[in-house]
Order: sequence, then C-alpha cells, then structure tokens
Amino acid sequence: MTDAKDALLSVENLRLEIDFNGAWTPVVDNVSFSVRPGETLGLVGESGSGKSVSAMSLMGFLGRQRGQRVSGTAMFQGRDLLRLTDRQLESMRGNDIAMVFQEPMTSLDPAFKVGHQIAAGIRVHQDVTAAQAKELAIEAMDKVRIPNARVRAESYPHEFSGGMRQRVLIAMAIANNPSMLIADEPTTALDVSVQAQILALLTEMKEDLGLAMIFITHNMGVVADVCDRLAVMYAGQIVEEGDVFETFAAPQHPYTNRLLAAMPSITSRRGSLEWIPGSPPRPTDFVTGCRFAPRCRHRLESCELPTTLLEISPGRSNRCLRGNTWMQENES
Amino acid sequence: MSTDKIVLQAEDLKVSFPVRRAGHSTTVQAVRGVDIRLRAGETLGLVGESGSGKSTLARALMRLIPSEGTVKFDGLDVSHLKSGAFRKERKRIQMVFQDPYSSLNPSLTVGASIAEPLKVHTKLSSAERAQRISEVLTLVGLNADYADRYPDEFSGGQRQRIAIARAIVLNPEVLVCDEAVSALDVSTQNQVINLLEELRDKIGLSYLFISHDLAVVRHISDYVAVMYLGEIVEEGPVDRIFEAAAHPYTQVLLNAVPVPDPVAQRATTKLLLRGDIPDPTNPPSGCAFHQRCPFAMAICAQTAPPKVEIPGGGAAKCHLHTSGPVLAGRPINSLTEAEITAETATGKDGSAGESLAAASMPAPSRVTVPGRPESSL
Ligand SMILES: Nc1ncnc2c1ncn2[C@@H]1O[C@H](COP(=O)(O)OP(=O)(O)OP(=O)(O)O)[C@@H](O)[C@H]1O
Ligand SMILES: Nc1ncnc2c1ncn2[C@@H]1O[C@H](COP(=O)(O)OP(=O)(O)O)[C@@H](O)[C@H]1O
Ligand code: SF4
Ligand code: SF4
Ligand SMILES: [Mg+2]
Ligand SMILES: [Mg+2]
Repeated sequence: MTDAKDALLSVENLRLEIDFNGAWTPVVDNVSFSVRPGETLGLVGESGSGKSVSAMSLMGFLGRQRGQRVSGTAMFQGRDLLRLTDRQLESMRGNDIAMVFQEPMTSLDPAFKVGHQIAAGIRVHQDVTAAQAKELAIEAMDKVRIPNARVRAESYPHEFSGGMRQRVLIAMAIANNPSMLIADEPTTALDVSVQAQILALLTEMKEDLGLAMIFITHNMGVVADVCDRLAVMYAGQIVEEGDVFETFAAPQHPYTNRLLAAMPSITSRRGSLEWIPGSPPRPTDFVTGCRFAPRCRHRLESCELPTTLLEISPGRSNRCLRGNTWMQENES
Repeated sequence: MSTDKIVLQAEDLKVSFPVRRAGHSTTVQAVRGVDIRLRAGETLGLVGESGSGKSTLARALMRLIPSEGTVKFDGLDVSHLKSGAFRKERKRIQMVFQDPYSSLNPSLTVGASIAEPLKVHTKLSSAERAQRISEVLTLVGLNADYADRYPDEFSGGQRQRIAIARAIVLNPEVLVCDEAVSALDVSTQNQVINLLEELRDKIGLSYLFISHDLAVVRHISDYVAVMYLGEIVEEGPVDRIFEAAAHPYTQVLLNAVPVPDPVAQRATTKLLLRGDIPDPTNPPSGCAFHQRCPFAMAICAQTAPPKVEIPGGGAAKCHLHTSGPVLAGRPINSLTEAEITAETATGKDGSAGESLAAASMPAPSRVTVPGRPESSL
C-alpha cells in the first residue's frame, strides 16, 4: 500500500453494511487503498464484486441512509470523508472530488441545456455571476474538446451522441478543478473508437491538471492503458493490489491470474477461451475464509482460514492464503 | 465443417426508415446496398460502431423489417415470398439478442418459453415437446429440470444459455447473435462463446455474429465484415482482416482496442478518429468515411471508392488502393510516411493534414485528438 502520508486519499478498512431482512450484512469490508496526487488507481472485478459500492460509500451516496452503515476511515486532504456532515459533503462533492458514471443519460437532466447544467454546477461551488459561470462552462467544454463549445452549450443532452455526452459529464466534473476524479465505468457503454478518444482525453487531463483518479472498469485492456496502480476486488474485498506493470507481469492472487487469462486477445486466437467456473457469491453468502475458494483450482483445506491483505513487497499486497506457492501448480 | 453451401445470402440489400429531423420528414438509410454470404458451418463476424447498421441488417435478413434487394436462405430467394410461404422458411434462421434480462418472458417458466416456437412451427405432442426441451437444455449445458423454473432464478450467463436453447429448439441452420455476449462479464462471456463453438461442431450451426468487441470476433469468426454508415467497407478471412487490414476504418477500429498488456498498450501509436459517425439521414459525399479518415485525399470527398479485391481474400472500398499513394491491395500498416506526405501536399485542407501527420507519427508518443473534431455532433 502507498504510504498514507504522501497520499491524497487514504482509505482504511472501509466497510459498508446493509440491513437485509434484519441481518446486518457487509457488502464491502476491509477495503484499504490509497491514491497519490496525479495517480490513477484501477478498480476491477466481476459484476457485483463491490466496485461501485466502494466508490459510492466514499462519496457518501451509500452508508448514510437508514438500513445502511459505514465504518472505517477515508482521509482526503486531512479530513475523514466518512465523518463529514451532509453539508460538508455537499460542498466537497463536485468540487474537490468529482464523479463520472457509466450511463451518461442518467446523470444529465434532459430538460436543460448542457451549458446551463455545467454552469449550475459551477455556481454551487464558486462565487461567480451567471454570465461568468457560463463562460467557465464553455471553457470546460472546450477543454474536453467538444467542437464549437459556445454553440453546443445551447444544446440539450439528447442532441449529443453517447461519446459527446460522456465528454459533457467530464467537462462538468472538471469544471471546478477537482484534485480527484472517480470514474465508474466511464467507457463501458461506448464504442472502442469513442472509448479510445475518452481514454486519451482522461490521460491528458491527468497529465495537464495533475488529476488523481479512481478508475472503475471491467476491462483489463483499459487498465493497461490508463492506470498506474491496480486493485482487484472479489466478493466485497480487495484481493490484490499493486503497480500495473508488476501485476500484469506476475499476478499474485489466483483470481487476478484467471481474470487476466480470460481476456480474449485481438492479436492471436487460442483454442478455447478461459473461464472461471461458478459465479461470485452474494453478500449474504460471504464467508470468513477465502471467498474465492469455491472457484479456485489451487484451494486447500487451509483456505478456510480468515484472510488478510498482506503486503508482500513495497507497494504490492495479496490476500491469497497460499501466497505465491500456488504458482508452481499446473494451471490446467 | 465448412462446405461450399451458402446458407444465407444477401444481394444489394437496402433498408431505410422514415424519420423526422428538424420538423420535416426524411429517411435514414440504415443499410445501403449490402452483399453478404454465409457458408454452412461458418461464422461470419459483423463489426462496426453503434449506429452503423448491424442490427438493422440482421433484422432485414430475417425479414422482421421491410427491405429492398435479395435475401436467400439456402439458395431460395425468400425476399418476395408471401408471409404464409415465408413462415415455413423462417425457422431456418433464429436470433439471440444482447439482453438476457429482457429476452425471456419473466412470467413463463423456462420450459414454456422454449416450447413457444415448437407450438407455432411443429405438430409435436406435449410429451414430445417436453422431450425436445430437455434435449436442448442438456445441449446448452443446463440441467433438464430447469424447465420448471422461472428466468429470474438464473444468472445472466444462464439466461443467455436459455435464450440459445430456445433459439435452437427448431433445429435452425443459422443463428444470428446480435451482441449476444456484450452484456456479460468476461468469464461468462467466454463460457457462452465456448458453447456456441461446441454447438457449431455438434449440430453444424452457422453464425452471423454481430459484436462491437473485436477480440471476441477474432476468436469466433472465420470471415469478417466491417460496416460503416450502412455499408460494408471491408471484408475478408479473419486473419487477413486482423493482420493486414486494407481499409483505414478497419485499421482505426483495431488500433482502438486496448490490449491487456501495459507495456505493449503504451507503446502503440494511437490513431484517433475525429468526431462521431455522421448523420445517416445525410451521408457525406464520396467516401462516407472521408471526414474522419486519417488518410483522406482530395478524391475521397468527391467520388465513392470502388470495391477492390485484396490479396489474401475479401475486398475493401477505399481510394488508397486505386489512387493517391497506391496501396493496390497492400495493408494499411505498410503505408510509409513518405507516401502519406506526398498525398498531403496535393489538395488537402489543414485539419486533415494535421491528422495525417498524427497518423504517421512515430511510436511511442501518445497522439491526442488531432485538431478539432469537425462533425456536427
Ligand atoms: N443499494 C443497495 N442495496 C443493497 N445491495 C446493494 C446495493 N447496491 C449494491 N448492492 C449489492 O452490493 C454488491 C456489490 O455491488 P456493486 O454495484 O458495487 O458491484 P460492482 O462491482 O460495481 O459491479 P458491476 O461491475 O456490475 O458494476 C452486489 O451484491 C449488489 O447486489
Ligand atoms: N426503427 C428505426 N427508425 C428509425 N431509424 C432507425 C430505426 N432502427 C435503426 N435506425 C437507425 O438506423 C441506423 C442503424 O442502426 P442499427 O442497425 O441499430 O445500428 P447498429 O446495430 O450497428 O448499432 C442508425 O442510424 C439508427 O438510428
Ligand atoms: S486462499 Fe486458497 S482458495 Fe483462496 S485464492 Fe488462495 S489458493 Fe485459492
Ligand atoms: S476512400 Fe479515402 S476517405 Fe475513404 S477510407 Fe479510403 S482514404 Fe479514407
Ligand atoms: Mg458497478
Ligand atoms: Mg445494434
């Protein structure tokens, strides 16, 4: 794990519990990671592994309602995000930390012109006139390379293509110069050609504005393109964390290994594609032992013991109880 | 398995939809003169950006929407068959869609869903139907007694298997898969693809496999067609397309797929497209791709490119093979910088010149969006 002291965001033991029919059930637990300024952390894992829930808990969208509770710490610029009042949270969201979601339509109001929506977000956080906010909105649209920003500011969301709507959301997110962006599958719904444009744009933002990012995705190719570090989630926990280059070169956890092996390749064809038998457990079926065990071909009886994310070398950690001894076993 | 029998063929297929734009009526030309041939036992991969006309083409092939041109099932021209006569032929081709959550009726048991096509198209008794249902469930790797359960008890991958079971229950020759694995996690997706390959070998199915995931298409296809704005701009045997693309659009699509290897991925020069797919109510003049093409030449805005046969199989519609820096069938990635700049000097406007430079920039620098996208969206 990154040293907490030079981190912009440092999350320790994040846990979100939800009341399922009277039983408090942890949906994510023991989630710890940190992000340095200008760094991009990728968060991957199969559907339902807890990527979005982790992000939503940090942003206060989950864990504050009845029937939900959140614990742990999330230090961001000297303040614990999990302990902010609702008002403090409001002023931080979209200002210091911004978020971009997968489905662009859901985050834009179809009834208002996009320039107006971006400007409204600016006026929440900056003491500017309506005219100044409008100019700043156009500037932000220009930064994300929306052509004819001044003219397009007068368009409604449905008049944009999916890729352009995603640019509008990124414009909205960076309009208040945040130091951190949480992007939840910002390109999953887009064509590869448009995805490539958005990834290039995000990389540029990161380099030009020094933005730190948490990038949630299913796609290991996207991770390879934009992320510096990678955290792999399974059943509500991080099972492996480390530098992107090192993790791809030698995954330490069997789950990471299987996820990487499953990616079909565009440069060659193999006999049959790899898959992981079974499916991830639901939160109500989480166990204290290794949660991947039912699907793991390296499972031993001892894998029922409680797991912890152990630092195995500076900046790399692994939750597999067998460390890297499973690697000697035949992978078939 | 593949023979020379052509199970599905389209000639000069055209589809247009009436739409309203800015208050007046016009037409979207969603499919603009497409020829395809699918051989028995083969998989034809169909790729292209969203809105390029893939689903519309599939629906026209199945006569779910009206079209112009010819469609043949197994050599039989079905385009002009009356609906009664066509009904007998329709069961030869079945379809599987993207969304495993909405393609099954939640109020019917799995067995009842699979039984529907049997009731419409066969005279089987209910015992015979039950027998056939358990056969196909087993064939797709599910337990035969799942027939009595409801769709919401199953995961996405299992539901997609059920949808496939339903599609093959009438023993079709062709399965059209429209983004059939796109909504699934990679592991589940691979499981379904392996199943499709198994069925191809076991019962001799042919596939029209529509997907925007090029890695999956490379894996499953024998032959690939690339669609852009309602046209097939390049086609050919799968390895030729992926290793020696002859059309700039194919090359850009392939280049856009991020490879799961950080070293290789960051060393690639990115060829970024400008803007979005143009408005199909008003397709650009000449080559429909010219406003976004990194290699566009003066002729491209004026004349539609001819279809040129490519060594190694298939064809491409692009002027690069007949004029300018003449590629004459060579792959795009063999184009040298000198050849490109020679053409830039002759009648190109500034912004496209910029993108030409970007396209030929040496690795490993990352090329950012060249110039400003100029499309209206
Ligand atoms: N508001 C909620 N109430 C109850 N359970 C929830 C809620 N939101 C998510 N969950 C459950 O929490 C778990 C993690 O969900 P989450 O949305 O974080 O997954 P994810 O990793 O983002 O998956 P995907 O890749 O599909 O987006 C799942 O089991 C999900 O069903
Ligand atoms: N029923 C319809 N009415 C009007 N336009 C349509 C209809 N169906 C498709 N289109 C248009 O036809 C074009 C091709 O669409 P489609 O076949 O769905 O593309 P793809 O499947 O490649 O994403 C698009 O411009 C789309 O908006
Ligand atoms: S702890 Fe055991 S079961 Fe879990 S991933 Fe490691 S080897 Fe597999
Ligand atoms: S014809 Fe011209 S614009 Fe069209 S793809 Fe070829 S080079 Fe590009
Ligand atoms: Mg999610
Ligand atoms: Mg479609």
